[in-house]
Amino acid sequence: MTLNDMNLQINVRVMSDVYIGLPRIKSESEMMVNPIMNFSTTSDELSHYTQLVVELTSTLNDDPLQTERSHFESIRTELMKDPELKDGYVAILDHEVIGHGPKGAELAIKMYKEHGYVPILIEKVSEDIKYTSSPRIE
Amino acid sequence: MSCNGRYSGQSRYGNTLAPVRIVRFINPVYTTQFVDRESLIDSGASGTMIPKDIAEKLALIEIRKSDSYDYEGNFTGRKSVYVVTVSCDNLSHNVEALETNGIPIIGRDILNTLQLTLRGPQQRWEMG
Repeated sequence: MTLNDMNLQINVRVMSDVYIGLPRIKSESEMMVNPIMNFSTTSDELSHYTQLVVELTSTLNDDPLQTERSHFESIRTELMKDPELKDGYVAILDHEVIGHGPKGAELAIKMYKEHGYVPILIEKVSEDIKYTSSPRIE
Repeated sequence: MSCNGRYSGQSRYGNTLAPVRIVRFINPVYTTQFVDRESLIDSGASGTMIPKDIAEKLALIEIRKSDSYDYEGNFTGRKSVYVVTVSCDNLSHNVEALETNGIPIIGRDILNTLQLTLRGPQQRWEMG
């Protein structure tokens, strides 16, 4: 029996809300892929989707906060409705909000002391933070 | 508690004298790891910024990515943000620092918590 005959039904779970590393256009949420891809496959298709999973895994390894960021984007609106969280900062680890506070840097240090010096997403519960810099006249 | 510094006319700061100071950047968790680097005191910058090599030397962990804009509001890139301790004499601040391709910058996130006095004719400045 070949893979073709088997007409495999494969469910590829793409770690919740992972998105492929495309250039940022408007918002990360617009580039999320469907968390569950259901498809029947032939051996060629299987090879194609295996490659896709490899690429996604590679992207994740390059950016350990990517899944946390996608998770935050999916709950940002909900968090902004909470008066205790709005305009403050939240810490996200393993898709869970593990802490919050009024200052991002202090929250990060507190979380590092509790969970170790590991990648933890610290995001402001508001619109994106914008950094601006001064001009230089050369 | 105060910190003071001088003005520099080096070309990397533009063609006018600029307030600068060697500042100590410290890993906020492993506090024995630090880098001393001349930094620009810049009230035009919304926040503190550090070049990538400082983040790498201190093994800082990114906390998120943020958009960066120039003074005209043009998008200049999506950069990593780190938490770092900035120390100047006996002043110390834990801040978020945006990665920059340029020089380290002490921005308004720190300056707004202090009184800053620029003494241009003497080419000296103090804050505290």
